[in-house]
Amino acid sequence: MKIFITGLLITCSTLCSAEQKCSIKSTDLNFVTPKADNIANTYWQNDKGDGESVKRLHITYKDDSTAVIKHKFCSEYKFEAVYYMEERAQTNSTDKIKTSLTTFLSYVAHKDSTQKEAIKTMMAELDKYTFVPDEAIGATYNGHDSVYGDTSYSILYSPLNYSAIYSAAISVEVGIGGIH
Amino acid sequence: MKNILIIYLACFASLSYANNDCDISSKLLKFKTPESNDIANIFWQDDKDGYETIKRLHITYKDGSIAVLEHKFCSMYNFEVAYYVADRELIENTDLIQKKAKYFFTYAAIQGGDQEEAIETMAVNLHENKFNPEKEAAIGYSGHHPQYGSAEYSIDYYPLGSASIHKAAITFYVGIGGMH
Repeated sequence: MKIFITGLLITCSTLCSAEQKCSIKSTDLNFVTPKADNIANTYWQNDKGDGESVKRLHITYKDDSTAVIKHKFCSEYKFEAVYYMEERAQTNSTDKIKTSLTTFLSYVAHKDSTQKEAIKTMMAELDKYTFVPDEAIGATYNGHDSVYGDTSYSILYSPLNYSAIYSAAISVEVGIGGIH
Repeated sequence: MKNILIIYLACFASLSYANNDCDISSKLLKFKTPESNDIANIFWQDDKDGYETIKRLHITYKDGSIAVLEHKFCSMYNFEVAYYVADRELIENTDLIQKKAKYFFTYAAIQGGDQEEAIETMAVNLHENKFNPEKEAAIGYSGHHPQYGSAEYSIDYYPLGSASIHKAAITFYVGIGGMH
């Protein structure tokens, strides 16, 4: 019985300390479920990994494209979105990539003071490219928020040649706080 | 009134023609919805592409992987699975790929023919080609279906960045009947 109580106390203290260790909790974050005419289905999935909380949102669009949005947080907040496009023809210029950037960044659950500057900088970087559907392009931004610390932003367009279902992918990543 | 009648008859004639033109209709196919403990969510989506009918099943697995099973048919039947894994270990060798191929090809709406032999041969060939999960790989098999004629199989493997939501993508394809 004594061993059982000791075990219980150790488990509790480990769990409590794990909880306390996280400077970012789900109550600090604002998780957006997008609602738009082009969305056919959304599905939230919760998970835990390496002491971090993971929330994934799976979106199926009416045009058969699909997206996964992943929020991972504890000592830092990490946002990842991947958008698998049904037809590469949907992206005939950097405009579609820029629209995806602002759309997916609107789903970031933790806003920091550098996001506006990040969007402006990455848009300007994307404008430097002549868009070719078969070539990958991307842009990045690293900033610093006085409250949350370092921030990092990135976007990458890549053609997919292995699948007949999806022909291109756009991924958007954001890291706030911690070390990137 | 006369014009409306003519338009109606023209529409009816073209619809009938489209239906008659398809050698493979959904009545000939058997669509299965997988049910297992590792599945978190499923979503069916119907679509049309010209004369072709498309039925897509979006599967979210509990481990965060996703799969899209696409049935596309009219003059021939095309079945493609795009499987995006959350952990590359799920398909890191040819034995695991063979198991996944068997699992996914079970959901093709036309069964029979030399499916088992195709999977076995492709897995052996991938192994002989020194399959490396860090590198792209593609393999095909030309087979035969007793009822529909030719049956073309393929497996394409594509590693994704270690920092991305999905660590690798693999597609399983079979095209039955029609002209290849």
